[in-house]
Amino acid sequence: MIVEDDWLIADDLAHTVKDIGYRALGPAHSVSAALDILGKGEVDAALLDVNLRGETSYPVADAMAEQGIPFAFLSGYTTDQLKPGFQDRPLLSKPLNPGALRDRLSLMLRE
Amino acid sequence: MTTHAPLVVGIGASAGGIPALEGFFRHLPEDSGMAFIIVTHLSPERPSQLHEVVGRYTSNPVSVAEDGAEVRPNNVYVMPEGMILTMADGRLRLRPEDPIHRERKPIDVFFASMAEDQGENAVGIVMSGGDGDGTLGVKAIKERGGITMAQTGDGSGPRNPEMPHSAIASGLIDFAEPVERMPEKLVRLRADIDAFVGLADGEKDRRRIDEARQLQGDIARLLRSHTGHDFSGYKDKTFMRRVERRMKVVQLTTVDAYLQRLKDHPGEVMALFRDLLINVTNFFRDSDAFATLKSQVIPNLFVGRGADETIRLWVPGCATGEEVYSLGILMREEMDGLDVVPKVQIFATDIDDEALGAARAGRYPEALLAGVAPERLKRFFRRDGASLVVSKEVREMCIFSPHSVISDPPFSRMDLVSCRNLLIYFGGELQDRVIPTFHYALKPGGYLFLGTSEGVSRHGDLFAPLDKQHRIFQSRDHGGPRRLPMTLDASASRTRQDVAERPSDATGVQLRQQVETQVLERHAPAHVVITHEGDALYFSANTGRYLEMPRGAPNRHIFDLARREFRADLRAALRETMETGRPAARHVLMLDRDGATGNMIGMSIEPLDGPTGNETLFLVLFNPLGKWRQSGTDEGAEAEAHEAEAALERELRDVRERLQSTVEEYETALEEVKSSNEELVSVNEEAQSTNEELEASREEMQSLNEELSTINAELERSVDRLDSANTDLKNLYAATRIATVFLDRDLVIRNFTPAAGAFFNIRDSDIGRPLMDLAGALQYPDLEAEVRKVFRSDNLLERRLAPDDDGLHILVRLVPYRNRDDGIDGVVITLVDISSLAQAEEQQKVLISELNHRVKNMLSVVISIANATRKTSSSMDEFGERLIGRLHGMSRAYSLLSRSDWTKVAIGDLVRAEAEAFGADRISADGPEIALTPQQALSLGMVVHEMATNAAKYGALSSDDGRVDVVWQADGDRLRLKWVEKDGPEVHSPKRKGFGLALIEGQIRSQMDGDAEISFPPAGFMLELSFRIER
Repeated sequence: MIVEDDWLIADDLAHTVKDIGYRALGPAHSVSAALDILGKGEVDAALLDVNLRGETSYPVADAMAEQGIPFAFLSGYTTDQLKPGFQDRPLLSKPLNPGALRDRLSLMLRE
Repeated sequence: MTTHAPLVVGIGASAGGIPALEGFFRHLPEDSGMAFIIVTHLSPERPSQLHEVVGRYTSNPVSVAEDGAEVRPNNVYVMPEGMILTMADGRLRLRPEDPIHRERKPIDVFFASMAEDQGENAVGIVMSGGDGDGTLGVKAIKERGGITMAQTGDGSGPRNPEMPHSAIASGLIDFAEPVERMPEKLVRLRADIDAFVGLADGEKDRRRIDEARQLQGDIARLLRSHTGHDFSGYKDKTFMRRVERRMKVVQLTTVDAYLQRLKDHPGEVMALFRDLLINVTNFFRDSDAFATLKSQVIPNLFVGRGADETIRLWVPGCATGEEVYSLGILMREEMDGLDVVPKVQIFATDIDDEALGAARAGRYPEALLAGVAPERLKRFFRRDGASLVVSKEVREMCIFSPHSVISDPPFSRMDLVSCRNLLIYFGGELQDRVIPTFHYALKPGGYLFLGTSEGVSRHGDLFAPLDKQHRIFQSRDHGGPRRLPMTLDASASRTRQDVAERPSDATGVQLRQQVETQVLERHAPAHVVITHEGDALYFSANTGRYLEMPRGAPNRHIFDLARREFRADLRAALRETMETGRPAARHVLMLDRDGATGNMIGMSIEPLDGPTGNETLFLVLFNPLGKWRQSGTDEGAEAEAHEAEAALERELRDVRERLQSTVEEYETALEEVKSSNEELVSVNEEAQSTNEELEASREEMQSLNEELSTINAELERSVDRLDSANTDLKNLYAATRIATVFLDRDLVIRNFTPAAGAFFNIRDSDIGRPLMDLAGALQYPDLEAEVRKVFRSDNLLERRLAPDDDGLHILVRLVPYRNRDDGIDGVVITLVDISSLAQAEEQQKVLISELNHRVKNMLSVVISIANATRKTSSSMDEFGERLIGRLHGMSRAYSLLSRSDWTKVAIGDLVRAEAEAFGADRISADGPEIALTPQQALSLGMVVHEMATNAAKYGALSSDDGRVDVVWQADGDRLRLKWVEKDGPEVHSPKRKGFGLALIEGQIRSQMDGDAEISFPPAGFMLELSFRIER
């Protein structure tokens, strides 16, 4: 699942994920949209942009942590600027490095 | 007289002395005929190489001084280290130095011994050096007639001027010169030396003696006219030695030339005057004598004295005061042990005003106090710089005033007169005048303290020796009223005649003298020689019939000695002779016991002829004329007549007896008048003395007053300065918003600014309390430890405190409080509120991180656009053109946003900006002004750009006539926009949705949560969209 509020980035990310060989869900551009997708039970892993147009994706992260689904944050921020409690989570720094994205995805989706 | 002895030159030098010695010896001729002895301050641990150093500057042999070595001309001797160098019998003497009590004044020690040994041949030179060594030494040299020099600061001045300055300040230096010029002076002195020989000591040459006498008279007259002081009675030798010394100093070789100089230069008269008054009076000079005084005399002065009584001491000729203060110390020491302490006054007088000034100050270079015991130094002196000042308790007893013991009326009612080493400068005549003056000044039984070479031998009737060795005498009380000795009429000019040395024919004289002697003794009438006052000076033989010893103490007064019968006539005759200057005669009857017979005596008085000095003497002669008998009864014839005659005789006898008793009564009355007159004179003198004392104390008061007002003025100035400094400080405290607290070493509050009061919650009343008790509000537990750290390290310390509950940020600065000596007396704590600074820092951090974030996001967007553009482009050119077009479109939206500071952008501006890029005349934009958020502006900007690009490529703008109408309107809280293309080529629905359309739909639907409807009617492409207006 891709949670990203900027359509351009989200669209690009979805293409990239598809190109690597995964099915991309979303992109969701809000917390509620993301939680809807999550509720369908098809999500194996997620990439979460932290800032979603006036809200943050931490509720989504919380929900995913509860269900034990791996996720990684996407952000222009650095680790120490994340909300305390999420600072040990993987973080992919914007702009995305395609290699790093591939490694992170394969790490999260190892069978 | 050591006519051909060389000049012996002692050179005292110390720190900075080497360049001075170089300057001196380089200018010294090879054969100077002088011997040089160099005394320096040497460390006993380090062997001195001075002789080698000096050897480089002179061709004369330079050697280290050896014990017993003869001092020879054209040689230079250097004092070795660890030794004390002195001089005796023309030879050097060395003795090892006591390693514990090292001699600190080797120059003084050597100069003093050299002065004693070499007298007028000694020359003392004081060069650069510290500690004032040499001052006492030059004093000794000058007193003995030697010459003194000191280095001055012309050109290459002394490196360390303390020593020469001290010597010059004492007024004892004849030549203050740069070292380079000293050798020339010495050579002149040496060349002139023969010219002086015999001026004072040439006993063999009578002519010269007469010359000298004449000269002394001339000079004494000059001195009297300039200084009012009469030196004519001074000892010839002493006087001439001083004159000779001055002649050497001014480098004149003939007395006439010097006399002329004295006449032309009043300054030289004063210099000679001062030289004549040189008197080395050290503290406790002759310590044995002072010890005797302390044990034998001083305690007696206090016997029976109550607290309201005054003990009076007089020190005539006190010079610079050493003797006065020595006595003062002795008195004070005695007073320490007494329960009842009487007042003590020490009158110190001198004719030398400058010396009195020094004495009044009571301030002495340490060199002059070498003889004072350390405990006395500690008890009675206060150290002030290089000098010692007499303590107030001693100083208070002493009264200084100008007074001449010779010509001014003396003080009176003294308990002790101390006059040491003044009489030695007086000739016999002056001494004879001064010693009775002392007797007059003393109370009966008072003490006289003289110098070791002085005495009162000729006045045994006035003083009884108490301690002969130490010259302490006690005043005798001789019955009758004390007489004030006649003071000389100072204005009378006297011609001195020479009696003693009249040349005579020897052989004839002897016989004549024998004859005359015999005649005088056997046949001459009895006679007495008296003064005009009546004091008998000489008695001939056989005066016993006419004179008899009176009652009471021995007495030489002729009126007391003469038999009663003579007294009246004697007095009358003396007066007559004195008035007329001619002999006077009287006949006197001396009755036998029976009264019937007697002797007729002829008595005559005449002035004594011939030279008798300046006083007229009188010769009294007694000449028996024959028997006198009362007329007897012989013839008896004329009984009546006889009876009558007998009656007459009886009557005559009665009358004679009456006359006799009248004469006696008259004499008694006369005696009484005379004694009351003397009493009156004495009372008058006492009044005069009291007046002198009053004058002296008035001067004291005046100078004290002067001093006090000076001090007061200074004090006032200081107070003013202090006041203004204080006011400045107060204003500074009030004006500064910086909280500052001053703490002392014990962390007690010394002062604080009003701003600090709020920080620490302290008030004015808390000054003097430890800050730690009060350090309330401050979140600074380490304060005390850090203050101590500042004390230790002497460095300032800065600390930013953690923000308190109110978010207040404080910077604490601890700075050492330095006192005047740059030591640390406390600490200054400064507190600065830096909350706004901290806020700004915080905001900046946020801004930077936001900027970071946005830049990264923007780059992500650009990368995404590039990715998508790359996928839908068929060639590199197309990719580049489209990517750059899209980026320009974005940047236009950004430009608008940044113009409005990222707040709102009007939709019309946005559309028109995009339209202009594609030809504004063919795109019409129409609608009300509606504000867009930055996000909406960016997204709509991209949409418009895609639409325009598309129209230019495929739609209405690709043909020449095509047009685009963009209209929008507000519909409730939504904005509706319509893009309609007209007059373009025919439109077909695309087979595949390209990236452009995907982007338009994505931006509107996802990004703006809006609705978009794209349709492709053949007349032209059409887009309708709507989204929420954010207000």
